[in-house]
Amino acid sequence: MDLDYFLYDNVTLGRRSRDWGLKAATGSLADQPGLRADFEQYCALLPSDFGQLKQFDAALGGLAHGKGYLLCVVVESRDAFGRKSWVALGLWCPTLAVLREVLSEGDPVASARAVLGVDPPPKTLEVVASKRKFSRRASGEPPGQVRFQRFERGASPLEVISRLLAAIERGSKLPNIVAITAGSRLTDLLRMGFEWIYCHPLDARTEAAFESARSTPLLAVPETPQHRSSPEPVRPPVTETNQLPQSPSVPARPVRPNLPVPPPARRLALRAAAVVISIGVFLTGMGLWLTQRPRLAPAFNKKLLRVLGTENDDWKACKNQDLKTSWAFGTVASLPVAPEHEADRLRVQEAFAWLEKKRRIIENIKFLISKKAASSSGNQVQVENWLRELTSTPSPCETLAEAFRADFETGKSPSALCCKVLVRLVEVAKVLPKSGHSEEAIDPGTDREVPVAEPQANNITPTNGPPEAVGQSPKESAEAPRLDSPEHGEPAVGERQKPDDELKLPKNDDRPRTEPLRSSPDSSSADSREHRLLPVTSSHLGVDPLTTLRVPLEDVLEDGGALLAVEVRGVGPR
Amino acid sequence: MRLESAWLCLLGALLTGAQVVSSDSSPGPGNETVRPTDVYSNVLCGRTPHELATALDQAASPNLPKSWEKVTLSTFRNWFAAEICEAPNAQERERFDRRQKRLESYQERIETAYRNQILAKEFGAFRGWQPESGEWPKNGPPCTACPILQSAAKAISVLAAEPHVPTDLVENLGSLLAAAADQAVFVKRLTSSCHPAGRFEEYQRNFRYFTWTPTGVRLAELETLCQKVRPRGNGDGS
Repeated sequence: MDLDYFLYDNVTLGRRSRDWGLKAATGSLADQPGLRADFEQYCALLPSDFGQLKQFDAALGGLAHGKGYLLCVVVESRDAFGRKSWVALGLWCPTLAVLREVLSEGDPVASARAVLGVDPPPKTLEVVASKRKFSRRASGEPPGQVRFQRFERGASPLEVISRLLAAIERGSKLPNIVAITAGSRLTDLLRMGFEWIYCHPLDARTEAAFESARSTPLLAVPETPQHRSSPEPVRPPVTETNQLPQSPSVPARPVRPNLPVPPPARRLALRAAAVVISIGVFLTGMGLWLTQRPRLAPAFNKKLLRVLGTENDDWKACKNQDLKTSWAFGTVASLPVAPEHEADRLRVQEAFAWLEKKRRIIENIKFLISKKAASSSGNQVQVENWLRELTSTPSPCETLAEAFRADFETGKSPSALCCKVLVRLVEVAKVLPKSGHSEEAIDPGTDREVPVAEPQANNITPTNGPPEAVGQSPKESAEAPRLDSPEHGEPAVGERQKPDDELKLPKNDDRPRTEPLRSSPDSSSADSREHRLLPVTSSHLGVDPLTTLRVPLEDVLEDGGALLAVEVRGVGPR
Repeated sequence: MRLESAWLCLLGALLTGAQVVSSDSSPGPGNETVRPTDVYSNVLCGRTPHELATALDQAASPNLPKSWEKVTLSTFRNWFAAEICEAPNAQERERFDRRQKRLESYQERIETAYRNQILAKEFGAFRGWQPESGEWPKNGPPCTACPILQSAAKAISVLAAEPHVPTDLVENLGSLLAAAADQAVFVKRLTSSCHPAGRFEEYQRNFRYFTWTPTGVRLAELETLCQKVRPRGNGDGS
């Protein structure tokens, strides 16, 4: 049986770089932006607050979506440089029958492992037959319950399979299951509509959060007769579970905990919360001040359009595919250098990756200033943000011009043309204030998906395969379309502009996000808005200073490209 | 006090004289407390007798006297660099000039031989080198320097394949001058094999990435070597 699938990994071309992101959406999944966004957010939930996820081998979870189910398989792996890493695959089961067959007859983990390291990824994922058969065990777990379960290597994936088969047998709603999470923001997950959450604490903070989540009265729910009468499924020990204060018919709402004598951990948490709120108040002031700043004049857009307009041949020639098939890129990919110059080669490789990142940013800017999108004032802010991103990150052009000056002097090479546009755009962007954002960007009511194309270094992956594979055209390739290929990765931007899509702020790295994956069925929009957490880069501090501020200190830990994050949360300015 | 200083000066002079006289073949630069030039100056002026100085007087042909063959290059340089002794009389001046002129006649041959020897030694690193054909720019922008550099690389690889390329440095003047003839021929061939000046710089400027490959690294080393043998004024590269 073959399945369409999502592939999310950290394949990079730089030894010190990271590129967590969605790398493939095959078949019908290529046309499901909503599910894709859900899966990306799902993947962002998996690593710890420090960007780590390890010592788990394989995990299984999933998302219910319409009539189908996205079976999420997370497996430990190693990247091209031998660093510990992990990969998440979303196996799309369009019907329950397919899911049942995959779970009972197939081995999702082995199937997922089979596509690792295949470049480009195959068009479909072939489900490998399982050596052990799973019985359809009845489960007494009614839907609507939320449980935190400690992840157990080997056992938890089997448990998930049993639960899903039981749910199928029972004909009840399939549960949304977090296959594994090493993050500490467990209570956030409750609001995202997950019924089962497998926790894998890797640090004391997460361990405490896990213990707290399991034991807090906030999450306790009295057992109903229906629960008690249900036969016991393959389930965790009672002490390992928690339930939301909701029943299938009663919507879940956060309840203020009644804690007359807080335990030490909770006391500590309260103190931390007080500090966080103080910082929040300060940042509110900052945010309000920043919103007073003047906005870009419409004339500015005209300037941008002059650089990026359709009449500009340089920009037209600056295409992703052209970059990949260019002579210089092929040279770097295929021609090894002497060991003492390996660092130089990596520098050039990274410059290509940066150029590609910037090309994608420019593409986003171009969309945002187009007639279709320019009417949104929120997009204006996005343009400013992208321009800042463009100007504040290292310019790759000097490095490339130094390594391949002859190529640049002809002025016709894709990299030279891209750099030409980049230089002109940076010139135009000089009029921007150093920082300044408008409040439209923080109003979830006006959230629109920026058609982005989040910068991904691996769009150019000279280290991942032979140059002909890197540069082959989509038609020539019998393999699955990559997200970074022109027809899938960057479709006509208008197609990706869906009014109901969620906000995606521009970001300069692949930090985990805590956007709500799914809101609780009962929560009002205002309520969910209040608790919404959005990723905010340092450059977006003014956009929403009181949501989530993450400060990545890259490469602090070498273990799988860890992310060190500082998180500040508080009540938004609204 | 003055008496003590006078005694010290006398003692110093005696020690200096004793060291010059007692040395096996040369005044030698070894004693750090005595200025070598003073020692050599005094010997060359004839104030201090020395067999090497006498050999200079007795040399009848332009060839190096026998007793000088074991002298090292650094010692020779000390002799050659010595200035005339302090307050020379006419006889001392005449003796100094005569000996110095003789040293001058040896100096150019010795220095050339030594330079050639160093070049030959450095060239030893190219022994067995074959430039990789796949490490040159192709299918890209035109590279005018490439055929010239490729031709030079080929010629150098031929030279490097020959067995007689010396790799050991000799320090004494006899051996140095004995190998001079062979090395002169070798350096001449090296010079003719080298690419014209400016070509590598052009290559490096336009195709720097290719100078990072093993062949490119060798080309950079060759450029350094060629700079040493390339005739001056050949800057246009044509």
